[in-house]
Order: sequence, then structure tokens, then C-alpha cells
Amino acid sequence: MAESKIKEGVTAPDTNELNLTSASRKKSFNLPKLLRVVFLTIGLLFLYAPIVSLIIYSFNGSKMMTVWGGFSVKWYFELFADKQMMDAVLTSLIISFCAASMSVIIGTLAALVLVRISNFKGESLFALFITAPMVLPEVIVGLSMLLLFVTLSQLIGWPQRGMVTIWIAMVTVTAAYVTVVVRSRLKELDYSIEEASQDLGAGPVKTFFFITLPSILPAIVSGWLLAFTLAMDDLVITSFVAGPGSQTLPMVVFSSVRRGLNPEINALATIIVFIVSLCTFFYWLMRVRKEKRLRQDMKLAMQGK
Amino acid sequence: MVTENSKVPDNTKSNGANVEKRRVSTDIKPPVKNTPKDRKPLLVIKDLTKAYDANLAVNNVNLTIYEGEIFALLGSSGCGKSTLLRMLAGFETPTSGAIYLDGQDMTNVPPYKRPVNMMFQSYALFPHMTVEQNIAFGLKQDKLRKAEINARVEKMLKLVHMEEYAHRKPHQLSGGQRQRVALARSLAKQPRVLLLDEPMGALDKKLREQMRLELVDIVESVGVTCVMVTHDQEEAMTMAERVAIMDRGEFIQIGGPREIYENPNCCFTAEFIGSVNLFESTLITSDHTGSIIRSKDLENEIRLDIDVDLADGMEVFVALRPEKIYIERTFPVDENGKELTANYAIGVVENIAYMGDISIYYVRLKSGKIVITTLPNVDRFNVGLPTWDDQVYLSWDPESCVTLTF
Repeated sequence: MAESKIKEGVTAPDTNELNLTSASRKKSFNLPKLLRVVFLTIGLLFLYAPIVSLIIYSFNGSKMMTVWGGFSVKWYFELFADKQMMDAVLTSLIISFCAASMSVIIGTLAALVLVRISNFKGESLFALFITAPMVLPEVIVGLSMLLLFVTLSQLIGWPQRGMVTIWIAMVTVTAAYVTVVVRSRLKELDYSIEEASQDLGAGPVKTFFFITLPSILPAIVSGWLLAFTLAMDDLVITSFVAGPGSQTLPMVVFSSVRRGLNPEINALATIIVFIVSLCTFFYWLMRVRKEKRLRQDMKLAMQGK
Repeated sequence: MVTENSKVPDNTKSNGANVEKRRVSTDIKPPVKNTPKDRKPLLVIKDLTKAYDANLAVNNVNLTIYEGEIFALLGSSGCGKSTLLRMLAGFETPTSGAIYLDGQDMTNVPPYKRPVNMMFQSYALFPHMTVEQNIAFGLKQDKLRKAEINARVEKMLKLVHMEEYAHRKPHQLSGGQRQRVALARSLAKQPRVLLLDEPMGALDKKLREQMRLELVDIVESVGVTCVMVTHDQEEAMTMAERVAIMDRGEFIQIGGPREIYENPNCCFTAEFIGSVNLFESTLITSDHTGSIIRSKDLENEIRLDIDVDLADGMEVFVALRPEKIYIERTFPVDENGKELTANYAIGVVENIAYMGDISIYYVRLKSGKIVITTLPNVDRFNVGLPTWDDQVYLSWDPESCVTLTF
């Protein structure tokens, strides 16, 4: 308090001048400010208006997409009664869950190799190879996967195209993302905590599970979520490697939209939007609270309490 | 204000008193050797070498550390002190040589099987564990019973005065508190040797001075043998019983703090520890009656009372610590009031650095050599003391000089 008062006192003679400049600056900034608001509104509208209209039309009583036929939730009931759609949701969930889990294991191992093995000769080459699926066009990845699976099944009779092939294809792509996320976390991790663990008598395996893993867990979780989301809505690669009996949600939605707009899809989209926003909101809330607590803790620690 | 002014002493008096107080008699004791020979050797390092490609980080080092001693490895960054410590902990494998602990070969034992614990420079506390869990971690690895672990953790918390913080996470602690937890964690397993890597490196200056003595107290109360690495000479001198000065992977000198300060064995040590005036000189004569040395920087001879035991005509360096040089404005005299004929120099004050407790004088001699000397600021107003561009007489006692050959 005392310090701020002193500072005020020091700057007091200049306040007139300061006020003048800030006032004139305000004036000159009025127009850009208006423009900023306009652009922001346009941008937000561009992003969210389609989603809002989609949500509104999911409650449309009429089958026609362009005509408002009164409020109704019948499309939701129809959606849940649609066996093909429900099967696709289940298939997608299973594949995404398995793909995310597998890619977390592979991605974490790859990140560990890249960061922890000192003077690893082919490090940059290996890093390039493991992250290549991120930048390769999906069409090429999908096509090459398809060729591989066809050749393999001709040679050894495995795999038959279906959920397994989709799963393998998804893991190759999403593992790259997990590697990037976990690698950056591992890089900033203080290596001495692992040394400290060994110094205190824990072997390398114990050290990994009790010290390293808990420290990189946030990165692994976000890697898993990222992989899950990517696998959930992939259409291109999945279409290449899917078999006749394995229709994922994006495939079903895409093919039904091609047959004509269907209000059922609106209902499905509304549910997905609702779930995603709920998750995002809680994640945000948790983060804000955690950060606030961390700041408070640090402040207390600094004061020596 | 009035009382302060009245305290200003008279010029000549203060100067005279100052000099009289500083002039010491020739009754000197031999420097105390701190080598604890009566103690049992605990850690023996034999011909230890660590090479990174062509670079020798540690070059053929031999060292014996005794039970219960606090030993400091002192050197500038890159001198190999940290590599040596990491080899003791087991994080680095020596290229050649061996490490014996209690007579047992430890050279290739992995870190998790050594009865040695380390306190890291960054403290390396586990961020996802509480203070209590951090301290208990090492004990859990030993498969101790739960009750015993709890008792030991409690004892450790008490030792470092952190009982109230047992359930805090590391980020909820201040720097000093984190250090205490790190110390407690590394002491919990009752290691044979405690390794400290730059123990005060992460603390600010004020806290550092306070923690130095506290850390020594704790370590001594436990009675553990301690090897520390530091680049801070003050830290090494105040905390350790013996200090090893390292440069380029080799030990330059090993000895007690007083020994390495007062009896450096080479110019490197003399210049590394504290500041020193080095005079390039030639030994004229040396026998049991004393030695005469002539420096090209000094107009007068340096006369020592002792036999330096070197061949006449040899090139030597005379090292003289700044605080052992008297600076006066009158011609220096000995105890009997006779004017000095040797061991003095005439110069002009070129610069004064006021440090608060002392002032450092930079005196330029006729030869152009700058001699550093210090004066304690006993008096608040420094009346009567030499000032800029004053002609001054520098003098020293014969026993203040240390003769070095390299």
C-alpha cells in the first residue's frame, strides 16, 4: 500500500498530461473498437449459427428441413429406435476407446525412447517417422492401409476388414499425436526426480510407475482424449479400411446425409454438441479452480506460512 | 546529529591506533591440520577417471574420506566436481578406477542399491506427493513395517522442524522449507554417506547464510559423513572440515579451510580462494637465518625469517593476502620504532571500493603493479584514512608472505 502511494505521489505531476493522452487515444480507438466488435460478431455467427439452427431444427415437428412444423422431440425417440444408428454409435465408441488406449501405450513408449535414451543416433529420423502420419494426407494413409490389409489377408488370411482393421489404422494415426503431447511434457520434466527415486532405492521399473508416470499423467490423459476424438470422427481412413459389417458413426451419418437431409441427424448432432459442451465446461471449471488454488498455495508458501 | 559529530576522532590518533592494533607479534602457531587421521576411512576413491569422448571430466583422482567428516569439493563450473559426486551416487559409471565404501567395491553398484543418498540441487521433491510421502518413499523401498516408517518420518520431520507441514505438497512450500524436506528425505534412510549437490544453490543470499549453519548442525547431530559440491568458496569454508579444490578434473589442493587459505600450495589455489597479490620474484638467498627475495614489481626486497628450502636463483611467486598488508601515510616502522628496510612498498591510491564493512584499496606502485589491500571501516567517517591519489606506504609481516613455485 505504502509503495503504491509513493508511486502515485511521484507520478502525480504527470497525471494531467497522461489523462490528455489517454483521452485522445480513446477517441482515436473508437472506430477500430466498433470494427472489432463487428468482426467478432460476424466470426462467432459464422461459427455458431449453423450449430444453433441445427439444434433448433432438431426439435422441428415437420420432416421437411426447411419448414417449421412446431416443437417436437419425436426425432430423438426415432433416433434411439434406429438400430443401424445405435449400432454405429456403439461401434465407434468401442473402436475409439480401444484405439485411444493403444495409441497412449505406443505413443508414451515412443516419447520415452525419444526423450530418455541419451545419444540415440537415429533420434530425429525416428521422430520424423513417428509423427509423419500427422502430416500425411488421410487418403494416402487410408489407401496404403487398405493395400497392406488386402495383401496380408491374401498371404496369411488375417486381418479380415472390420473393426480390427479400423482399430489398427486409427492407432497408427493417433499414436503420432499422443507422442507429440507426451514428448513435450517429458522434455520439461525435471529428470532429477527420477534420479532421486533411484537414489532412494527404487529400481528403474518402480521409478517409472511411481514417479515418471504420475508426473506425465496429465499429458497422457490429454493424449488419450485427443486420440479418442480423432478416432471418433475420422471418416476418410475408416471408409478405406472398414468392412461390410463395421459401420462407424461418421460413415452412417455421411451416407444418410447423401440420401437426403434427415432430422434424426439433427437430434444426434444436438446430443453430441450437448455432451461436448458439458465436458468442455467442466474441464474449464476444474482448471480455473486448480489454477486459483495453486496461486493461493504459492502465495502462502512465499509468505512462509 | 550532534552526538554523531562529536564521535569523530582526531585524525592522527585514529590512524596511529588503527595501525597499532593491526601490527601483530611474530608469535605464530603452525597452521592447524584438519586431517582427521584418527578416524576410520569410510569412502576410498582410487584412480578414478571419467572420460566423455576425448574429454577427461575427472582425471585419475585419489581421495579418502573419513567417517563423520564434512568434505567439500570446490571448483568453478565444468571442473568435474559434479561428475565426481554423480559417480559416488552411481548415476555415472567411471571409465576406470574404483570406489570403495566401508571396504566394499561400489564402482558398478546401481544407485538404488548403494547406501548413499543425495540431496539434489533442485531438491527433486516428488511433486505429486506430500512432504510426509516424500520422506517415506525411500523407507517404503526398504520394505519396512508401516509403524516403523511412520516413526522414522516423524523423527525426520522433527529434525528439520517441519512437523506442521507434513501434509503439504512441495509447491505449497517456500525455498527454505523445500530444502529442509529434501534434507529429511535424504537422511531418512540413514545413509552411510550423504551427498549434497550445491546445497544452497537455489536459495537467496540471506537465507543461504542462515541455512549453512543450520544444515551443518543437522548433519552433525545425525553424525553422517557428508560430501558436498559447491562453487561458492564461502559455503565450502564455513561448512566443511576439509575442502578439495578441483580444476580440470584434478585435485589442486586438499586441506582444512584455514590451510587452503593461509597455506595455498600453488598460485591457482591462492587466486581461487579469496583475493591475493602475487609478486613474480626471484629467490636471492635462502638459509637457516632467513630468505631474501627480489621482485621486479617491488623496489625493496622481501625478507622472510624462514628458510624456504628452494634453490637460490629460482623463479618464485610471493603471495600476499590483501588484509595482511598495512596501509599507512607515514613511513612504516617495526615494533621497536625503527624504520623498515625491507617488506614495504610506496604507491599511490588509485581506487577505493567501499564495501560497507571494509574498503578495498587499489594502490599503484612505481613499477605500475596494482596492489590490493583492505581496511576495516572501524570508524563511520573514515577520517584520517588514505584517500584517492594519496601517497601511501604498504608494509607486511615476513610471515604473511607465502612463497609459491607454480
